[in-house]
Amino acid sequence: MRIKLLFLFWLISIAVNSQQDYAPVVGVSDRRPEVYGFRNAKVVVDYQTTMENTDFLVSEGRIISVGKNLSFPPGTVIIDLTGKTVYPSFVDVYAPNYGIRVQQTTSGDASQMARLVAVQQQTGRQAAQQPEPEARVADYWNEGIKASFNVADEFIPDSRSAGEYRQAGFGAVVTFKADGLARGTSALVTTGDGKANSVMLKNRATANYSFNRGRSSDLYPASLFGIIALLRQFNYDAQWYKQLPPGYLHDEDIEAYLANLSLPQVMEVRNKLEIMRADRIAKEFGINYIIKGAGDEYQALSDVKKTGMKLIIPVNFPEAPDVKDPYDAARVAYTTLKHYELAPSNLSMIASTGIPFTITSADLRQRSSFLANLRKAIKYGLPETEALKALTYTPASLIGAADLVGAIKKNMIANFLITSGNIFSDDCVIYEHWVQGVPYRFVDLRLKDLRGTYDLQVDGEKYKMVLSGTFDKPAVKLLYDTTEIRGATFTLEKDLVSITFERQKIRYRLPGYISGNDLTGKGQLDNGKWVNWKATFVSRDFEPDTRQKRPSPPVIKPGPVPYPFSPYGWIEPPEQEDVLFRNATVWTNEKEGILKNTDVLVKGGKIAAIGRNLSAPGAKVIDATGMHLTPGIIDEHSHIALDATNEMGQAITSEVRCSDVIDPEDISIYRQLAGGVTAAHILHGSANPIGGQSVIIKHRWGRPAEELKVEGQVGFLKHALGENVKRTTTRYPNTRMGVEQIIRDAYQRAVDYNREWRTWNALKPSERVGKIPPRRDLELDALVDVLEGRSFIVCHTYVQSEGAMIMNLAQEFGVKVNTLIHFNEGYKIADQIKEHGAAASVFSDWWDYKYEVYEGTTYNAPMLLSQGILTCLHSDDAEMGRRLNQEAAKVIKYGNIPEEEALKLVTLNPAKILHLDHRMGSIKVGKDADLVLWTDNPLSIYARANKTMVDGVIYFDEDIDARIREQIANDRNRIISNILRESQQPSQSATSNFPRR
Amino acid sequence: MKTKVIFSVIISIAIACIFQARAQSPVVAPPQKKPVMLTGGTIHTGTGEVIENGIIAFSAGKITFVGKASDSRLDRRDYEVIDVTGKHVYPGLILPNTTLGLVEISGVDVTVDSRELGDLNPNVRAIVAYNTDSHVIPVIRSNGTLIAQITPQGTLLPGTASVVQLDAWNWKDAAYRPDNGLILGWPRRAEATGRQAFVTEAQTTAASAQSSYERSVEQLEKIFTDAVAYAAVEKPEKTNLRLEAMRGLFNGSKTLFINAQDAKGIIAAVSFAKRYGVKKIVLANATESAWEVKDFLKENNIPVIVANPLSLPLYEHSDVRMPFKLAAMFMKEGILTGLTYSSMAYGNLPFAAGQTVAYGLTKEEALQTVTLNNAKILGIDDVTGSLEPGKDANIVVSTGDLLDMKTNNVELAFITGRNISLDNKHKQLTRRFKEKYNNVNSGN
Repeated sequence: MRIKLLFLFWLISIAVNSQQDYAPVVGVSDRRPEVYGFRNAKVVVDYQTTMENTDFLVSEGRIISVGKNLSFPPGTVIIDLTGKTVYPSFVDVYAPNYGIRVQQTTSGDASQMARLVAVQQQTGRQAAQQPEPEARVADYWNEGIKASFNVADEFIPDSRSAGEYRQAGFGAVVTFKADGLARGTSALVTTGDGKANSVMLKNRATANYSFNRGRSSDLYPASLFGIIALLRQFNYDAQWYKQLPPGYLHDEDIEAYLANLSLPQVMEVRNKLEIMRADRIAKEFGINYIIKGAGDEYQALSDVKKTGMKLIIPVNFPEAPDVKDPYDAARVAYTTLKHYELAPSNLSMIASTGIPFTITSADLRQRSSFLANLRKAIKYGLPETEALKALTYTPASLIGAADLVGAIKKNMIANFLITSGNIFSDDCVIYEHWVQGVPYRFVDLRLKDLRGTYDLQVDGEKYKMVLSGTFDKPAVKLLYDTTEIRGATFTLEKDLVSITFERQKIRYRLPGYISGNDLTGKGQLDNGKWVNWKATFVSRDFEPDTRQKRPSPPVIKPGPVPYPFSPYGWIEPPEQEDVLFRNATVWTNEKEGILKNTDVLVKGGKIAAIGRNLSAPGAKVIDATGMHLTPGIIDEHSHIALDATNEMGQAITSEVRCSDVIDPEDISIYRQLAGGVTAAHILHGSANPIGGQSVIIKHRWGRPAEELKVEGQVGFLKHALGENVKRTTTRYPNTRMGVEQIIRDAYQRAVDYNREWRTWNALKPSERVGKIPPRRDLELDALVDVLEGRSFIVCHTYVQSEGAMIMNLAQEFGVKVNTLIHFNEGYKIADQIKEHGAAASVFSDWWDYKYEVYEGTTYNAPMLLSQGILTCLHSDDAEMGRRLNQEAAKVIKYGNIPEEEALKLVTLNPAKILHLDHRMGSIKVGKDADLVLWTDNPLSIYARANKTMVDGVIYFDEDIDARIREQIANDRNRIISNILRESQQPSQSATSNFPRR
Repeated sequence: MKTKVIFSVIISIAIACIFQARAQSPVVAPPQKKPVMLTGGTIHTGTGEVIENGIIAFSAGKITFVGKASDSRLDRRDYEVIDVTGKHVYPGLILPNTTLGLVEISGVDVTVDSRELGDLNPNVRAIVAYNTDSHVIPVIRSNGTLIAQITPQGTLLPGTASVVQLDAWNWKDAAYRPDNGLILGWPRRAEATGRQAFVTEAQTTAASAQSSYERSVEQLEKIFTDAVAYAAVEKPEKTNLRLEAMRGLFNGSKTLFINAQDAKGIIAAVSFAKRYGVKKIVLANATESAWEVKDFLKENNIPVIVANPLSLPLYEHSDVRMPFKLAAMFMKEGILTGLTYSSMAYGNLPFAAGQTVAYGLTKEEALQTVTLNNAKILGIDDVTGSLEPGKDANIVVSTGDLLDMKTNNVELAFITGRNISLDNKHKQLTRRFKEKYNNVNSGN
């Protein structure tokens, strides 16, 4: 019913709309004065100022004047707003695809990729080997970049969405096309119904970006780190483009990008971690991004604040998870429960940090829930002034339109809301929303308020009639003597009224009209008899209607925010402290070997002393009697804590960096700590012959991504051979022959590229004039780093032929393979590995799961060791990673090596292989205090890691772990019980949020 | 003296292998001809008992004596005596719920014989596809596993499992207790997990999952109804292979091994089986979900096989070490608890059991999960699972603690008294390439 009504209002509003139109008159013109004077309102002029008993004048879609006792010119339509409050309309700077017809064929990254792969598979192998260059306009080489798009080219106001925006309180929005990484420019438009040229206030309001590849026929980029690499390359390409002489190259996207850099740069992220990722790009290229957040910023607020970027925040609070059944409830993720309870506090927490922010209605399932959610945010602590500022002044000034929208001041666009009172309170009614001086009515203020008590006379009988409820839809109560007549109805339609009821089996139908204060008319009984009736006004008395008022659910004080936002995230993070391990069996991995009954002192995150009876005033003493202390385990090969694994879009993707997509919230980090693992080399997957740049992290659980990186590490570049890289039948290579060629070609290109740069760099500035500078190519840069020794080859390989191949190839280019990873058949060419000088990072006993590991053996590591090859064990697996000490012990079983040497396979040897043995891998004074205290011999299956320390901070402790587990259980119970109690309340999300009640 | 003879046999086999161009499965051991006596070892019987300086004797494939050396009145002259002083003697380990011999290389489709097309295949039999020449088998038995339950994989009714011994020429002589298990893969109920999932989307997925769940359960209801009716007729006029394969469930000759994922699914599956009068029911993949319904399992006397303890916890909020602890938790509840292991390196069953020791079990209890308890659950405890007179001589001798990889070193193993080869593909390849380096070095 309400929805129908709304449509009606839209139609009406279109009919009365008269905006600027410079088209020639057809027929008889109908220009009307359209001058409106508003009297006696409480006017919220801007977020800081409210004026009581104030008048304002509107004409030509603008505010002409605001003040007390204004004298309006003759011909003004005067509207009395006594008792009403007027707000400036809200401004939404983030209105994706408003007025844009989006092609529905594809969406989302994953499905997009799946479709493309399917298409490629259908077109077959031949086509893929020699892809036909696509006919393109003069734009960027990758379709994910659409910087030259200008929304004005496609914008046509859409009355349905416009109505939704108006209903939510928005009089002006910034529309853009939500497609691609660089999305071109947006426009500030009003939400009025009119032609595009009359509602558009400002074209090129912002330039928009995202980490979402959008509709693109290019396979690349297919992952988050590929996307970041592309954004980076695009920026370098733009810098290069600026230096090009005229006529050399024309690229619409780069031209537009450069031209629009002066606009506000708005970057959309999908979660708070991407804010920090955007910040890294921003800092690299000197861009000031405004971040369109996802509503989870509270989860890493101090990191977000450090970026210094402004925010656009949605109010998309999650619905309550289904916890009716305790077994189902047990499966609901802790983060889902926590986000459910904390999301409404997001804005209040952001406001309390002082980060400048605006509020957007984007990301809501239904825009009609905007006001309800906004009011919820206020209940959860967002100050009303901050809310109003974030909906008016801040968004307007963000796009340089504070002189047009966001306040009710002279010469500004006449966008305002007429309400019953405080717009942030649940019972506020929005009567009318005026956009560009045109009213859109939700409740018709022109209706007469009939509420009160009447004497009704019909057919000789007297009744008492009380009209209550809302003035536009009064409810009726009819009494005969003192008995209430059930089922009576009353309807009001402008000047007409109608009453129906039934008494003593006679049905009364009484149509009529308003006559002064009274109601009167002629009706008919169901026996056919016509009767006169009259309701005489007695008094204003009526009982206030309480039926419509629902108690809003009580605000439950939300629990703490764990950091990282994950189970086992910290409420009270551990701190670095000085620790004395007393009387341990210490596995030094140094020439001292295993020392019994020995103390180890940790100070300032470093190992300070090793010996007996050490004294350390102020240090925390841990009695390690009967326990074993070892260096922290280093997992040389892992894929934990990454938000991407493979960039499948191309075969050579050396530009891709794992360091761009570290996920500091991955529970795997904590689980590794529980297995005594303190550091991990996290790599790109093995889908590509040259995959990407890896990164070494320490498991500093509870530190942001940037602080997980091991300081001063060298670079490693992932290469991969064999089945994984050749299995995509639509992509070159398909054989080990092709694998060699594509890697060779990449390095050959890098050699030529390097020479080109050297030549260029040797030129004097005067010699460079008129010459084309070389283009910075991040893919080749990464290979040049390898050629020049700043980065090292790590290569995934299984069979001996390809292992020998990569070593030969590296040698031809004058470099060494640093690490042969997995290399199950390494034992077959141990002599060649030794001669080449590569190290090996292998499994203890994995074999048999695919053809290329069928000749793998459990004796591989011992064979390599016996040939003098630097060897370590790795996990490549989040589960086995936490038991690497046991993997090391297997080498004792299969290779009969000393225990001390076995432990080095997962500590000192990976440290050496990763060029970090100067600070990690052994217990030596001055090295990092990355230590594990074990309950037993660490190589025994009966040992547990009791405490795990990184840089002197104990991140895992069995006792604390037990306590956290209890906390998690209690916290889960608390939230679930709150949800159960809330669900007994009338559901909030189920109500329509039509802004009346 | 006798020990030396045995070793020389092994060595000669080993040398023979060196000259094989490619790896070969070792020769199958002949039947036990002479009574054998292992003396001086520490005997872990699998029942929880440990006998120091013990003697175990076996003859014609059966154990004849287990006890302290001091209690033995056996005449050593009647036996081939093998001195295992300082070493540890165990029952052969039993690996339930595995695709050993059905899958050679999981990444190569044509070597995979574990999953038949369709959902209602109670009649397909793992035993006839069991490849005794799989290179994986000798690798896993050389770490102490001698018996396996080979199991078809899939949803609803993927097929009939068999118990095999791991030293055979062909599946017919491998069959240890053929066709005694029927697998039930209970469909997944709807779930609403995930990291900050949008609830509405989760609910939509859940709704479609729920209807697919109901369809699957309906399929099971139908076939079980039909199977019960069919089983009531001893010789039906028309034979139905599917229903025939289910007959044993109702007379106790077959055990129903349930794989169910979530807590309510477990209750649903067990209740379902009981409602149709299934006599023997086992929960074959117990995880944290099974722990949530431990009281139900206990009340209904359902044994559990703890699914791979060397795995990740079920939920992000789970106890990080939950999979390590589960076996002890179930056992302390008095639930008959077995344990299995499945992963890319098949030889780790002893370590999967050993892993539970730091988390609540004693070493002997841990051993029991993969010996006597697994035997009880698979219905073979009448012939194996412990070192007791009358049972098959399925015996492993390790120089050190079998359950700890640091010390696990299997020197001898007997299946029904036959002294099996412990050679395998890994050892063969290693010898082959050691030759390479020896030749290279001597060439220098």
